[in-house]
Amino acid sequence: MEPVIEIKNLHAEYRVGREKTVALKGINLRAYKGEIFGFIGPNGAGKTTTINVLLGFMRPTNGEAIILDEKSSSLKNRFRIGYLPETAYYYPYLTPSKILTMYGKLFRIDKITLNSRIDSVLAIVGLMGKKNTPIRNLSKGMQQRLGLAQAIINDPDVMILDEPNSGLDPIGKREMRDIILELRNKGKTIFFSSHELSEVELICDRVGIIDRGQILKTEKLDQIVGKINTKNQDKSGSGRASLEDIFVRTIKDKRA
Amino acid sequence: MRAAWIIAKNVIEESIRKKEIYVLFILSVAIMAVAAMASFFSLTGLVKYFTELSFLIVTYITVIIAVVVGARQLPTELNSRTIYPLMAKPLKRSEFIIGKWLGTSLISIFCFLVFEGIFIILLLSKGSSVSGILIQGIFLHILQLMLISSIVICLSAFMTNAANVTVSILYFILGHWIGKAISDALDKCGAFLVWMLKSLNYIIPHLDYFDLSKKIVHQWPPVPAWVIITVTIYAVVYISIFLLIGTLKFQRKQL
Repeated sequence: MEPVIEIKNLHAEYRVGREKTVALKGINLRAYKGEIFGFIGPNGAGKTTTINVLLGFMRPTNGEAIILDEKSSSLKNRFRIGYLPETAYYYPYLTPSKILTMYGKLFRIDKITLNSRIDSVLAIVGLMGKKNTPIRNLSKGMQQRLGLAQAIINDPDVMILDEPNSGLDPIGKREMRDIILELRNKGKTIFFSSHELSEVELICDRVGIIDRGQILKTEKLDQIVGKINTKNQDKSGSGRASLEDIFVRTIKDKRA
Repeated sequence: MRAAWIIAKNVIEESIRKKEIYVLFILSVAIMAVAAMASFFSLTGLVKYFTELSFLIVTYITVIIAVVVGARQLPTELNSRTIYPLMAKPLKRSEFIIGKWLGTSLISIFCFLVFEGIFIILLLSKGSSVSGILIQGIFLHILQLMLISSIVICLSAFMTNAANVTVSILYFILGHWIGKAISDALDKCGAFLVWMLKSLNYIIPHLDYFDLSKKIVHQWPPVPAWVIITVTIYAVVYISIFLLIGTLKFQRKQL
């Protein structure tokens, strides 16, 4: 299978004041067409830095990141990428309709198609009734839904979702999960970073565990869970280790 | 350039929603109205006084609008993190910078034209006419606003909002005196300092080239067309240089 996202020996560092932080130490990853890839790791592990490099926000110090056969810094592939940031950051004085028009125009979508796309994506995320409400008047959960709407306005082939459940209530989480699964069923590739391992476990096909800038494990979810189950029992003795158990064990083993 | 226009429209939309432009608008119209009502000079003196004060106010207020609007563009996008979903779209960093400059220029030019429209109406009500030099003065101030907007947008890639506003306003105030100050200082300096000052003289754009206010007040005849064309080219060159520097800096920036 052809990888849609391919990260090869990626190194990245950034500076905060005079202090240099090495965020990625030669990571390798592949996400394939039509799969949901869960990218998990503790705080400061390098998840967001990886996403920043994938979207061209940061330049790697070494190695490369390729999306849809183009280098991550290329503008060509942006037409086929949807990105949902961790927290909703949108112009508060605009309405959902106006911000989606602005983003849609950047994708050079023609006016008629764009108008119908805006209605369609707002309906998908359940914000049709708030189409003309200023964003500042939307709740955090609604703004996160709007984030998803802007991420799919261009009908992307690849979606990069950074903590998509951030700020959502249980119903919102459930709806977000359904939308992500629906997108996967339409053949989209979804690169999904999250702290919520139960959520990752429910929807991801494969997972990559990152800690301190290094990939510790990249496997299919059923394989990763199955392997551990044959060797160990979880603490509850239920016979089934959750992704959380595996995650904690992997991180602890590596750090030991 | 379509993408730059989309960014520019967002700058205009944001500025319309903020109240500072309305406050400056009311303030300047109020000062102009008071100046227009003053009748303690002869008619010629009154028109001169009114023209000088109004042109000065409109010039300063519109430059302040350009500086305030332009200086916050990049820092606000970075601080509020609206830049992330935006730059994930097919948008070049050069288009982002040009769009911010275009939006800042357009909003300040729009305010200037509204102010000038009011000024001209008041001027006509005093029995005066619109002279050729006034039209040239308006054109050169538009160029000046575009130049200052490019400087502010360029600086916003290097410094904070507050530092940018301070430096830009100081530059605007001193920019009209730089040429004269340097030529005055040349006689009193050693060879190295003379070389430094001459270099500075060539590097820093001279805002006095865009200032026809004295000639407007004293009703001079229009300046020759070649002067206006030369100053226009001068502005275009400097605007391009500042936008290029701003883009290069922003392209190197890790978001």
